[in-house]
Amino acid sequence: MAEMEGTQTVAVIGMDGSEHSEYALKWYKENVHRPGNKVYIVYSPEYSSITNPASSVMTGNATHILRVVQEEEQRISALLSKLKEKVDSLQLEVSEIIRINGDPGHKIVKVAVEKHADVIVVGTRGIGKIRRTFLGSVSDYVIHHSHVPVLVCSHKDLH
Amino acid sequence: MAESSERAVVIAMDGSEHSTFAFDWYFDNVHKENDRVILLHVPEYRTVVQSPMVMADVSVITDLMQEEEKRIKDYLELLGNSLKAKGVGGKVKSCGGNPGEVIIRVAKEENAAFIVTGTRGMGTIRRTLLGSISDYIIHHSHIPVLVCRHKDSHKSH
Repeated sequence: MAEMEGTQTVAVIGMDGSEHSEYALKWYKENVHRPGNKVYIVYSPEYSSITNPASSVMTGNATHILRVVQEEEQRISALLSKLKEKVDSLQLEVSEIIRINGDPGHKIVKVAVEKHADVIVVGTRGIGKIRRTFLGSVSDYVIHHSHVPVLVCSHKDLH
Repeated sequence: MAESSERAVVIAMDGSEHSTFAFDWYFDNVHKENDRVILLHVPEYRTVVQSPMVMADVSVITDLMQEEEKRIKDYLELLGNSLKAKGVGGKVKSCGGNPGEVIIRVAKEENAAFIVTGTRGMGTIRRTLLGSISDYIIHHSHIPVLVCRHKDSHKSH
C-alpha cells in the first residue's frame, strides 16, 4: 500500500434500508467520521416480492415475473434516491454507494478488503423479518470475519 | 459548526495487547478533544484461583494475592500514564465482578456514548473468532460498540 502524506481512513458502511442501518450511518457521521475519510456504502436492498414464497411469482408466468422484477427495480431506485438524500442531509461525502445482491455479510467484508477499509460500520439488525437473536446475522457475520475494527451501532430504542 | 459536547467513552482494558490496540485505535481514529475516557479494568484473580497450590499454606495464598494486587496496581498506574501521555481527559476505573456485566453497567452509570473493546483478552484458548467478553458486550450493549480486531489476531498461535 503506497504511503501517502496523511493517509485517509477508509470506512465501509453496510446498509439495507432499515432504520438500524440509517442510525448506523448517522452515528458514524456524528461520532467517528473525520473530514477526509473515504466512505463507501454497501447497500443491500431486499427483493421482498420475489423472495417471499407466498408471492404469485410462483405462477411461472414470464410476463408477470418480468413486471414484478421491474416494480422491484423501481422500488429499489426509489430507496437508493432516498439514501442519497439522507447522505446529503447529513453532509457526508460518500465516495461510492455499492449496490449488492445477496449474501450481505460476505459482500460487506469483501468490499472492505478490496477498498482497504480501516473500519466497517453496521447496525445490529436489518430489515429482515426474523427476530430470533439479539444481533442480526449480517452484523454477526461481519464482526466475526472482519480483519479490521467493526463499529456495531446498537441503539436501545430500536430493539 | 463543530459540536464539542462532551462524550464519555468506556474502554475495556485487561492488560492484553488487544485492549492496548483498541485504546490506540480509538485514539488515532475516533477520539475527539472533549472526550472523557474511562479506562475500565475488571481484574480477575486468575493466578490464585487456577493455581494448583490452592490447598497449600495460607501464607502462600496470601503472597500470591499480594503479588496479584501489586500487578493490578501497576497496571492501573500504567493506564493512568497512558491517558496522560496522550493528553486524554478521563479516568482509570477498576471494578470487580463479571467483566462483561461490569463493563455494561459502568457504561450505563457513566452515561457513555459508546464502548470500545478488543476482540480477545489475555486468555490463551483460541476456540472462537471472538472472545467471550467482547461477545457478551456486543450482545448486551444498548449503545454502539467499537470492536477493534487487530489484523494479526487472525494468525494462529
